[in-house]
Amino acid sequence: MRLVAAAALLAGGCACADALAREVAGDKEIHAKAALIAKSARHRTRADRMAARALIAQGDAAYRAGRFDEAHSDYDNAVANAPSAYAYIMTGDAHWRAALASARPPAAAGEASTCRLQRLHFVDDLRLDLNQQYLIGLRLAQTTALAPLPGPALRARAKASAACFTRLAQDYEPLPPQTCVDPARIARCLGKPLVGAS
Amino acid sequence: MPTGRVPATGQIISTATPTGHAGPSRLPEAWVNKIASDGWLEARSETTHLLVPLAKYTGVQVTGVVNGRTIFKVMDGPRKGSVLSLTEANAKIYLGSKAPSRTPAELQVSYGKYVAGWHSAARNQDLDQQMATLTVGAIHARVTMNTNWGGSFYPLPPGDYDVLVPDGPHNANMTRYYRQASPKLIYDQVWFPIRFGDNSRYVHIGNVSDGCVTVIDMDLWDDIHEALISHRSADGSSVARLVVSGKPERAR
Repeated sequence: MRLVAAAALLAGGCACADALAREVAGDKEIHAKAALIAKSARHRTRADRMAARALIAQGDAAYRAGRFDEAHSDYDNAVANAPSAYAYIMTGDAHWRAALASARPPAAAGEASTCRLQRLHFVDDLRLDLNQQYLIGLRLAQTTALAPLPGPALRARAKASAACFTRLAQDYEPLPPQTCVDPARIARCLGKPLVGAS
Repeated sequence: MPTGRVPATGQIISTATPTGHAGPSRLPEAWVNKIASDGWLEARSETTHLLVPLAKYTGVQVTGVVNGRTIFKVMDGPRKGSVLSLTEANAKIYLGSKAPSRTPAELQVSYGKYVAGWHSAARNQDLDQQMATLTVGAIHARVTMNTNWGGSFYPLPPGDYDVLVPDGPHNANMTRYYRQASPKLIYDQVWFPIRFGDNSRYVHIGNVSDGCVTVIDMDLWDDIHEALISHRSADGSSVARLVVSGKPERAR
């Protein structure tokens, strides 16, 4: 990734904001991180686990209602109380659904479309979530029994989202910082909501 | 004529006005001077019997003692007008004569660096932080002005804002875990709303900011809390004037 940015700079093309862009972590790194998280999870108290479960329930309710900012905060804090594959995956997913909602152009007729999400930090932001949410969550789902576990269908969908976001970050990395990120591409990576309406 | 006693002083009071007409005066005669470790005093509503949270330095007027319970009326803040009670023993402990300063505190926030990958030990997570420095009195603390990027959250624009009296305890599950890394942390459920937009930005402790003024230096929160909560504006609605200066390195 760095070579692409450096080559672009040498060519006098894109003055990319992050010539030292964040990388997607390798399997070994994710495995090591997930192992540490699983180990630390054993020290969580019953109160910690109950707090996490309460936040996940709140997060699911907010998610179903389309309040993705709120859902993101709930899942993210659930992880901090007691980590689980489900909460990690849902944190990443809710974050980008919230971003998508705010990136959509104004609906009012005649109102100019605005570029709310630019490539400037997009690649780094996306990779941070891949490294700290999606990939960790998917690894934990394979290797631990930290409740609640995501079901196979949710896991498969999250895996597809992670792969799609990895490609999306690659595609945007060489582009100029002011490039508008296409919300439709984020929407395609996310697919339908992971938690359905009740 | 109803009478009451200011618990901290033992002073017997009545609700008669100086002209002799019965009825409450409009000034508080006692204040919430002690709170629990979550930052709140919970008193029983005399109408619903539910517990009602009061912030430190909320003004009250004691109206009497009934069946061992000290009855009082809340004179300011979000619960103004409520009639609540505490056991006499608790009233002696939690209500007192120390009033808040009648001028808002001055809270300054000066923007600093955008720090990508700031490590939160409490959350075991790398976070992209728009840092700033908070100053109130002699206290200087590190704060983050935004952590959650790409969506609707962004750092508070430079300007002047009112910091409002907190309305109730925030969800303990959002901050309790910070006590593992900072065992001395108290009053973490006190979040001070900032008058901006829908007032959903706060001065609070934590490592993650959704456009809030989020105090990272947990060990300073006790002092910051006191520096803010011990002040009230003339109308009683706010505790401080917040001045945000400089420019965030990352705005969106």
